[in-house]
Amino acid sequence: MLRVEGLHVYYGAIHALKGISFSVAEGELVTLLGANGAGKTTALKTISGLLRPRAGTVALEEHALEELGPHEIVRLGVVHVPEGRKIFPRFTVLENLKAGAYARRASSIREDFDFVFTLFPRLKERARQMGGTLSGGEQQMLAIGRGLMAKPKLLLLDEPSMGLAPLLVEQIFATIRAINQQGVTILLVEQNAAMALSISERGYVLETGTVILEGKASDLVTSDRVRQAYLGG
Amino acid sequence: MDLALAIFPQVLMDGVVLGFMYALIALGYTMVYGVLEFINFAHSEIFVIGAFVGVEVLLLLEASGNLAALHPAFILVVLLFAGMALSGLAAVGLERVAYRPLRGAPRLVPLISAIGASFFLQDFIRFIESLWRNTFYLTYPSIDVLEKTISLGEAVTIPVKSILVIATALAMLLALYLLVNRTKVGTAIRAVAQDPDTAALMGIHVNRIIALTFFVGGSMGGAAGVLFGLHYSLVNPYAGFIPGLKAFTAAVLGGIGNIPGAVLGGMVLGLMEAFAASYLSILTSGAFGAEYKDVFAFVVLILILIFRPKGILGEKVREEGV
Ligand SMILES: Nc1ncnc2c1ncn2[C@@H]1O[C@H](COP(=O)(O)OP(=O)(O)OP(=O)(O)O)[C@@H](O)[C@H]1O
Ligand SMILES: [Mg+2]
Repeated sequence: MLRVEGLHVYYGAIHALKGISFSVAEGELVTLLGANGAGKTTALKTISGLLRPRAGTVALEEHALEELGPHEIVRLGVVHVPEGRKIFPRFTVLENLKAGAYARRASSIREDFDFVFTLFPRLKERARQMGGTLSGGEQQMLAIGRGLMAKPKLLLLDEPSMGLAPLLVEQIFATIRAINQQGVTILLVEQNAAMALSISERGYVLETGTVILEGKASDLVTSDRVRQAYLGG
Repeated sequence: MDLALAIFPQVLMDGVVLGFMYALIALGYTMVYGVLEFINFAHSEIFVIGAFVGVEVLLLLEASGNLAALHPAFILVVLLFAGMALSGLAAVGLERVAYRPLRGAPRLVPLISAIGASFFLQDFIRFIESLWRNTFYLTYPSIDVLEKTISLGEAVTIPVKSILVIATALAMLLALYLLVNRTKVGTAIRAVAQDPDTAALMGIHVNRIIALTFFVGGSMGGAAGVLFGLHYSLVNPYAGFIPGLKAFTAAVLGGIGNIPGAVLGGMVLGLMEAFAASYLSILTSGAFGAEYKDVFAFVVLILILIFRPKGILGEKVREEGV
């Protein structure tokens, strides 16, 4: 479904992605692992159109995403839930969710509100609260909920468990798996390698802008390099 | 004291008129700041373009003998729409040519570009008018109904001009409120103001929304220009400097980036200026005359900003996601 090939991305003189390639098949849940600064966020931003690659291609089925702007890429069903949640602080929970459905026709979003509220009942209780005053965990639920409001075919999640209490982390991962089982393809970026691999089919490991390892999630969990670097021995 | 009481309604009216004028101009500064965190210093010339479009339409109507023949309400509507459209388009053009190519450059760079654009537009208007009319000091032809006054009791007379300014400004503010708060593009404008990258991820075409914001802010300035011309009659290419500076001040006073703040700041500044102009000399027995009105207004401004550095209604304009 998504095929990234030979991607080079720069920030000015900084060479952040040095020719990485990876792919995600329809219905899959794939994890992108890597230390801080490896280039995971950069990769997601390039897919969603916030960054332009200097070289390489990002193909979604027959579409060349590297030639499109972010507003067009969303309309193809590629939805990016950014790192750090990026809730609109001066929108209410409801307005944030509505913003997620911006690219769609207003008439068809009713059920999706219900779907998001079933996944995250807390959001329903807080519907009229300002995004900026939600707790970190509530903001993360809202960020994922807002992404779902766009009716993604491919969901890009950047560190959805960051800064959350262990119980909530488990809940978020369970939700991600549930969303995937509903037929949404997911590319997940995570620091929590054990959890991420436990719900994924495949994974890639990035190091300073290159893919150093890839394979089935079950193989990666047992690989020495992943164990040493991300799973604490 | 009797005198002070007697002129009160008049002064209040002057202050309100001035306040609405500043408010309309201030919206252009504040809306653009909202989406780009950048002060469009050429907005004062966008305002002047509105004033010139107004006078040109009136002069052309006069020359063709239509000024007296057409219904004044119709003329005013045409005037306002023409001024708004051209000022709005000029603002969009300005953004495209002078600001967008500099996006991502250090913050000082587009600011310098704005100051350059401001000089350019002043002299461009001067050039065109000099070619076309041999002068760039123009006078609005008078429209009879606007010269009338309405009496309320014995002490208070209200010029129709003032009512026109207030009514038009209120209508524009209501329209703007509805646009920003009740429509989909309004949602997009507010989303871009909070976080442009995330807005783009929602499917919002950020560049288009920025252009639209320039258009809306520019057309508010254009309407203010037409009202300014109708109210004070004289226009020249440099006439935008002082009102522009005051309106910018009003925007800062209300909290830059904040739309209700711009209206409030404009009103506060307009009222302070009008009251200072009339009362300073009465209250100080002539020690300070009306010429100190701006000093007074800006002293109050500085005091407010010392205690509320982000302006009366100000908040941090673009929060980081927590
Ligand atoms: N806006 C920027 N300007 C310059 N360099 C940047 C910018 N954003 C990221 N970088 C650099 O690019 C590299 C990759 O950053 P990226 O954010 O993609 O890492 P990451 O894998 O997401 O890290 P983390 O796990 O900490 O989120 C880093 O070296 C970073 O310093
Ligand atoms: Mg990151």
